[in-house]
Amino acid sequence: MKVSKVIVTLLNGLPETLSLLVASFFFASLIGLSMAWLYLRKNPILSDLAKIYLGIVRGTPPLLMLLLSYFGLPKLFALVGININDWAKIFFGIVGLSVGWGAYLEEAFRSAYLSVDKGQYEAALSVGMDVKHAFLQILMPQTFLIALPNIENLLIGLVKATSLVYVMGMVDMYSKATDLSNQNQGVYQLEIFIILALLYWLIVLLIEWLFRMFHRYYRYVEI
Amino acid sequence: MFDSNFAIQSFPKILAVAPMTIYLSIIAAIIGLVLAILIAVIRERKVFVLSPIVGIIVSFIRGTPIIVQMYVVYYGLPQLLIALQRWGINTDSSGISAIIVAITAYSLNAAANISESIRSAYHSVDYKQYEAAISVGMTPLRAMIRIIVPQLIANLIPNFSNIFIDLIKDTALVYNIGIVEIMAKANIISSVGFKYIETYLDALIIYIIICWIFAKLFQISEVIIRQRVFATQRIN
Amino acid sequence: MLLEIKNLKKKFVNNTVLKGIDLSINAGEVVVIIGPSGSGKTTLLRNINFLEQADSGKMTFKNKRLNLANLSNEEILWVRRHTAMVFQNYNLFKNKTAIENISEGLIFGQNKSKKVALQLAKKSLDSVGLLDKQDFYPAQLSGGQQQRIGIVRATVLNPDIVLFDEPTSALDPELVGTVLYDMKHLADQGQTMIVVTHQMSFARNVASRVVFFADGEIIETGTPSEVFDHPKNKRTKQFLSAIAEDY
Ligand SMILES: Nc1ncnc2c1ncn2[C@@H]1O[C@H](COP(=O)(O)OP(=O)(O)OP(=O)(O)O)[C@@H](O)[C@H]1O
Ligand SMILES: [Mg+2]
Repeated sequence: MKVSKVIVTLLNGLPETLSLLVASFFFASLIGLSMAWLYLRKNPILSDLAKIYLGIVRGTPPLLMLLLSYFGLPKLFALVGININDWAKIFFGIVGLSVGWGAYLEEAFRSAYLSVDKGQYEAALSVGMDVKHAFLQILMPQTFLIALPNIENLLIGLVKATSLVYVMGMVDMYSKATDLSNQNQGVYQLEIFIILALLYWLIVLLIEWLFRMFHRYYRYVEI
Repeated sequence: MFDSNFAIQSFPKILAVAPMTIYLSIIAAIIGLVLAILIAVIRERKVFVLSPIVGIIVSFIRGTPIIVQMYVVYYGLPQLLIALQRWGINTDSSGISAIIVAITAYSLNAAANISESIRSAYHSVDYKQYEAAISVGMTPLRAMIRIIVPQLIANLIPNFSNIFIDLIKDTALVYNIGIVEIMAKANIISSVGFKYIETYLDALIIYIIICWIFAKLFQISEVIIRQRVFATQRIN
Repeated sequence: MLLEIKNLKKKFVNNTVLKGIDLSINAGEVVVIIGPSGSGKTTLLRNINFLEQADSGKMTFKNKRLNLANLSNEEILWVRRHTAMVFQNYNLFKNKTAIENISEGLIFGQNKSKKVALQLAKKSLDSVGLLDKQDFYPAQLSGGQQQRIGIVRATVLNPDIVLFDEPTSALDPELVGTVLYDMKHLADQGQTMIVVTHQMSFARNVASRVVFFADGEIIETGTPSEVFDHPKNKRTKQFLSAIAEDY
């Protein structure tokens, strides 16, 4: 079997891997941002909830998160009379991954926000900005830049975690590899998985490169 | 809907295999730590040729899913041993158990991650005391062991704790190669009556408790080590 | 009278930091506040532009009467938009270039268009000879340059009062002069300012009035020569002899 054929077959699963990655990261960021916002409102009940959420996710294998989403969500929805059994599998994959990564992103955003120098906010107020603009112009961009290394690590972790959606029968790169290796009845299995690993590595290297470029652009912003 | 009786009955059965999860994680962490120290030394001392090669391997391991690594070892290790045999090195490839495969894969994975943490912990050590120790005549090696290493360990613990907890969670994948740990047991029990959610919730609770306990243990040990490090530094 | 403060009180938990301050300032005056560390000088300045909120007291600013214990958001914003502050550690926006630091307040505090704001910012940077630094981020500038831009950021807004909180005390000695020079230039142009500083020579040469502040109270106030040469209060004398400086 030719290496090129293996690559082409595995790449067939790339769109699924990428859509899962992008959508999960998007929703995880939404969850993370809103949880961080709730946490920082200093409402004790809300911050306790956020703490419990983070505590649970910290101890949950991503695989289990996906399984609970896949098997648990239909049961939850059935309670209120909605049948989601034949919703697309990617939906459950996105839910499982974004719930997991949302907790980590929440922590990244919150700790970054808290480490922005308070004087920056006061300076913004002192030149007459209102609270909203002080946040949008000064606090938020600085929070984002501080959180960037953590965001990068989390995104890379998410790339790797997308491989776990095989448990719900999604056809991503990883599933393509297992299928191919089963079809070949034990020949070239090592080669297939090495090529698969290289493909994931390539995606991760690309992400690292993008973040490096971004970082270089802002290299003089020392926060 | 949700069979709570079944969930309660299954819980002790799943808990009974938790030692396998913990065993795999601890062995992988220990082997990983030893390898990681080696890697960190090679990279920090910029050992000729070896350093860039090790750097690429670390990047590769950190850039690929653990489940893929596991299968690379699963299919690769026997072939490697056969190749070694051909070169006259006496190895027996027939006796490779799933446990060996898992420990190999997870140790390598841990080694790559821990080595990076060691390096960043090393870079965040305060050097003034090292220089002071050298200037009063301590040998560099002695100063390293007395001054740098304790601080390094204190800096390393939070990251090491995270890596260890990730290891525990990642072992949920070894059921794929036939090892019976928490996740495998949950699958086995539930496949009989298709009551998945019950056993998965059991597994969830067990994982959360295990991770919480280890996180606490690391926290406590960090506090103790920091006290020691600071105490000895004050005496110095 | 441009600004008049009556009986301003402020405490942190059970530490009373300002014990009923009365202070007034006319347009064009330069009031220099001196006093020991921890006496509440910074807190007083921060109560004037409401970075800190007083527990009680009254304030009249530009003929508008304000109850310090009960301020509306509009009042707070109005005062902030007619005052400006220069900070001890500069507090330049780290994610903005020099010129953006200056235009930011014009755009978001005074609703000027970006184009107009940048023009004004450019002109004011030029006037202190820092135009070549317009695209530099704070991390690329020396402390002295940062603080001079901090002053431009404040004055470009045309504020009725500029509040200076120890603007030179974080600077290397050789950079202090450049910042004081800019401040003296501003005073000569008639800018009203309240300056907290330990630079006694600046107080003596530039101040219209010197206020000696200790333990959350104004102990003595008068012209520079009154306070420095003929201090009436014992504590003022002690303070002045303790800071063995040639003023
Ligand atoms: N946010 C705060 N919370 C609690 N206490 C505070 C706070 N800000 C200031 N204080 C206290 O108020 C007192 C006055 O502080 P302030 O910073 O106004 O003094 P200062 O005269 O400016 O001193 P320095 O010359 O050192 O700058 C100090 O005892 C300080 O500890
Ligand atoms: Mg002060």
